[in-house]
Amino acid sequence: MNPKHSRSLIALSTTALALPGIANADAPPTQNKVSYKISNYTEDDLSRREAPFGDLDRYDIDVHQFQLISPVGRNFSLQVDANYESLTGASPWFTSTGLDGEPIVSLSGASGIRDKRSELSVGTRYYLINGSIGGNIGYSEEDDYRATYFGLSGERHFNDEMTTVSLGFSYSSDDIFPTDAELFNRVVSEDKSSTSAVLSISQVINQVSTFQVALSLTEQSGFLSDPYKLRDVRPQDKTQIALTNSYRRFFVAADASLHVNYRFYHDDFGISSQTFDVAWFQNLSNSLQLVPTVRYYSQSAADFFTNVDDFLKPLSEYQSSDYRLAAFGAYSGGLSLIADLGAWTAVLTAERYVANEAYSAYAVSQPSTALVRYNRISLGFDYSF
Amino acid sequence: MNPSLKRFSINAMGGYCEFQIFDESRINAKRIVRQLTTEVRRLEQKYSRYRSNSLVTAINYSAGDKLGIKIDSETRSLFDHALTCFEQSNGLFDITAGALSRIWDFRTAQVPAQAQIDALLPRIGFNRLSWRNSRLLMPAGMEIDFGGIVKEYAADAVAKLGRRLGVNHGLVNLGGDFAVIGAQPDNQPWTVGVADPKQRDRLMAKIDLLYGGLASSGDYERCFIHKGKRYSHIVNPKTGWPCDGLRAVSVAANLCTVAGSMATIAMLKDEQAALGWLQESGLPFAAMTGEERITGEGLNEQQPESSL
Amino acid sequence: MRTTRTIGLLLLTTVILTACTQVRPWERGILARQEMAWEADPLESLLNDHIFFSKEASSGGNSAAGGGCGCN
Repeated sequence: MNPKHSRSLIALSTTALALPGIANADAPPTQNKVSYKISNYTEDDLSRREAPFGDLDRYDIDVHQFQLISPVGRNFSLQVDANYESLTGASPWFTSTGLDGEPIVSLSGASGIRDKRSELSVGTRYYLINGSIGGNIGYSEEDDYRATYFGLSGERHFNDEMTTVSLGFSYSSDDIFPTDAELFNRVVSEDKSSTSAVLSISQVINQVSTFQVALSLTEQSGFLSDPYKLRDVRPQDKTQIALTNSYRRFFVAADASLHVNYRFYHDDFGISSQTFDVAWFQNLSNSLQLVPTVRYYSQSAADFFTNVDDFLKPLSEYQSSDYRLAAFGAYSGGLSLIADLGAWTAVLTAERYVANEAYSAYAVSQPSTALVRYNRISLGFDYSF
Repeated sequence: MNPSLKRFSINAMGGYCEFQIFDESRINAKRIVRQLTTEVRRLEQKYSRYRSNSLVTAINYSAGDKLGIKIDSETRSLFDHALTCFEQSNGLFDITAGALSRIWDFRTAQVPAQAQIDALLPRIGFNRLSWRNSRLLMPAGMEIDFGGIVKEYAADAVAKLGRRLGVNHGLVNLGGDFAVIGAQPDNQPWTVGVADPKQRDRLMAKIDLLYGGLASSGDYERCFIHKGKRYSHIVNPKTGWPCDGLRAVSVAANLCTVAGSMATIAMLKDEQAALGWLQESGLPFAAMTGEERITGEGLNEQQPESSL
Repeated sequence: MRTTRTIGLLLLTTVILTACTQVRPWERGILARQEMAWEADPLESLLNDHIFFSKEASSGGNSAAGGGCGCN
């Protein structure tokens, strides 16, 4: 076609492209899709050097994810998500100093933890000519934790659908009721809430690439400490901010797509973090796709992080030896194989994650002992009908 | 699994319709065609002027109603496109002009009296439609007709649906309006032959389509000769008299809807103005002039692949 | 340091936005492919978010979060 289109042609194209049967974006799915994914997540055991006493086993989790997306009428879609996790293992209970002065960690309970988590979420979306709005409600339950949440979101296209702005809001009300509370002198019942809002702007750059910036703000308040730790005192409020940049580019010659994401995060516990991840979706044939992924993550320590619990400190002073509040870095890499079998799609994924204070991009004044290393294997199926 | 071409035909939208799909299995192709057919039937049912229970009939029946009639978003978008057609043709392409083609009936082959035409003209004019929120208020005596828009829109909508159902290579033909679902395997274009309006078994032109659509407009079958002069069924809504321009035109564009609007407007313009206007658009087209000369642009060029 | 980074980021964003070329909807075949989606595999993204949420301090991304869990 002539690169210089006449004014009439552009005018006619503009209104024709707004016709709902033609408009590119925002139509409910045409088919029902059921997805199921089973994953096994296994953390490496601690070494005897890190935990001289007690259990060495850490978490071993099986995750079952189920999702149904279904068109309802001409303008609505329905989405149901159900998750079930069963977990065995132990989590850090307290940290102390070993004979050589190095911090050591003790894992909870000789018999370890057994827990399961069930979650159900139902959502719907209404599709408009130039955007969509949606909402969902959900419920998650564990032996010692319950979360009830809802979310609302909307998106709208501007600028001949070159730009998409979306806004999301979610609220979760959580109850915490630790097991064996009396036996171990834990808190009996606590609660917390979190409210978050996300604004994102996506922009089509050209025929093969898009870019997205997203800003998310989360406010948590209530009991934010770890009820299972012997000594874990954290502030009652936490404000988190995250800025995410995402880029997608397709390479026609290679028949592959590149995904790059970078996130900067900061919260008022004093933690900053950076996440950088890259994925390469390589089409091998009409029905096979290979996807290597690499991710690097690093965070700074919370202001009140300590790698040795100080039982002499007054209870009013903040302290936590939770390894998730330590400064560390983590590398992970994965490989997925996706087979498209017509109405069926199968995905097999393997991933390895290693956290280490030596990988940290931030200063590590107190290295944590209990940093995780894990393997994950997933097998997923989609069926459209 | 080597996909082969499967063809399915139905009668809809007042003509012969055909879906051509490359698919591994005939069962899967049939399942897809069933959904495509449902969409064609839905649009046919909704916008047919000849069905007593269609929306268009209800709209026409509402003429003169002070409360107007509630219009859904899809139909509103069609009105928006009809407005663009009206504006871009300086009022020549007017969906409210349907009544005129009835008095210029090629079957009776009668030239109506000027008084008859003058009586109709005040009941025509897209700009006389008004809107109150989502309600359309149509003055008494007016009627609308989405001819030249809806069949083309249906072809695009069905092609789009085909893509969403996973068809990579396919072509939709709704009574001579074509929309590409996807190019033939190995990015080969679909070659659409445009019949010579004078001799239906001969081709006036061949147009290669990689994407988008092709639509045609012509008066050869629906015109009459009276005292040596040709009277087309395509009537200028401003004068009430038949147009005296091109005999037939086929246009290829990014969408069948756009091609259809371009072709219809070209038929309404004077011959020279129409050819100039089509050339200016840069779209490939084939036209037959009043002297039955065949002309066109960009027919032999490969439709350029969108520059990557 | 943080200011420079923010300015750099804004600058980068501006450059990218102004470098955009008009892509008409019928030229969006590639952008519409599943592997070009922000989340190419929704269950995979949900699972990863869940794991990283429970093993790292950071959370928040490009979509509103769901509910919490006892894992964090």
